[in-house]
Amino acid sequence: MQHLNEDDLVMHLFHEDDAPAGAQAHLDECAACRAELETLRGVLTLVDTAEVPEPPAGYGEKVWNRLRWKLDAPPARTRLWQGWVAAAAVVTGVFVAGTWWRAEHVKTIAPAAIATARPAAEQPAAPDRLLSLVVGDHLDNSERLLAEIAHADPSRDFDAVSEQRKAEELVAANRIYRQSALRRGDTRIASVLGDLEPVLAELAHSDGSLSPGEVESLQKRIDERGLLFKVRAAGAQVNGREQLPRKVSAAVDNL
Amino acid sequence: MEPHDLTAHRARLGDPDAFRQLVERHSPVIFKVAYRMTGNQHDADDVVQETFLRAYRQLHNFEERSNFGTWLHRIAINCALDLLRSRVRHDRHYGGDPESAELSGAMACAEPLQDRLLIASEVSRQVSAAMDRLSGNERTAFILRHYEGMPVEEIGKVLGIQVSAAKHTIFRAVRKLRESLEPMVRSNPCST
Repeated sequence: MQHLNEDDLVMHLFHEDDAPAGAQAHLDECAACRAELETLRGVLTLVDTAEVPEPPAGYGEKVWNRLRWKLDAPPARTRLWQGWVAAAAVVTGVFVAGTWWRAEHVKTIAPAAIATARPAAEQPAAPDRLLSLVVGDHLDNSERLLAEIAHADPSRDFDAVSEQRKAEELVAANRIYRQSALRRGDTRIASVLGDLEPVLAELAHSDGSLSPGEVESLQKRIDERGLLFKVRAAGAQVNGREQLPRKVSAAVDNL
Repeated sequence: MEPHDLTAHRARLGDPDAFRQLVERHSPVIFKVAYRMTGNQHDADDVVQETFLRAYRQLHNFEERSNFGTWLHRIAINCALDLLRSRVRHDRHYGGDPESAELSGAMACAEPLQDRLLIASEVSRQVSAAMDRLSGNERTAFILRHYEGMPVEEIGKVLGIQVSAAKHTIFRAVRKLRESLEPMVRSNPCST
């Protein structure tokens, strides 16, 4: 039998069925082929010595914490226009509801309102509550996104594929909510949304991966303007979860 | 038929807590596969994340009579392969350099413990560099055959190539590893 070539020896090592017949018998007799086989075996043994680090304790939990809020995201291609459409639909809905509500209010309540001379500002504003609800939701989502960036490790690349998609969605809605807040004279919310927008836009325009420098720059922007706190405070206020004390409110405005 | 894994069954029905349990249970194993495939912790973490994202989105395709871990394992391999294929690799000319020869010459069974630890660490680095010389397909084919014991036919399916091509991919991988690591093997009888 001829000497075994390297491919034959690899087949023999991996116990492949189509290893050459009689390979073992040849190896028993041929010192040169045996030496070749041992060299290959040595290479594979050396490869086996390469360490695979144990994941840190609580690794599964850490994976889950990064993963959990990404799980509801719809497919990427539809997100950007869906964000615009959803935001536009909400604002249009609020406008239509407002028009309807005012018309009904004038028709049915006006006589009583005239009698009691109650100021218009004291009347309940259903459309405003609806808008508050969606803006509150938007601020909650933005807060989670900012928290992801704020807590990212600035010494390494950050996989921002999901964050970038989320930011695309949020930045589209953010513009509409900010304009709507300005029209309604809600300068505080408009200001928070105005501060939020460039950060969302920067993230939305990333290519799905942030370098350590980009992570650090974003973290600096979030930190310098107290953005995370402002968004959290605004979200809590809009959602009516808590009424900020006047001093805190003033501090937020001054950030 | 009774589901193989009740937690996977619950997750498939939309129970987020069940999916959380699956993530926490399988992450460490998937990490190890991902690490072997990618060769570094950062990429391994990314592969783990992507694996569970894909698994979540494909849960409806999971056949409950199958083993969830095996199914997940297959997704992880595909994720790692995608990452390897998308990564632009700089060809690192390796092997036969003076530093390597010097270090490999220093290897001996009788070295003091501290030296042996240093050498072990260097071996790890060299193996890692040798693995980095492999193309994405070569690395995947080799790992699937050597560590996972996957039949060549299956490897061909994973890589989307013919059986004979899969076999030659494994041969090429072993040849490249040999080129890089043989000097260390020859100078270190302990490794054989």
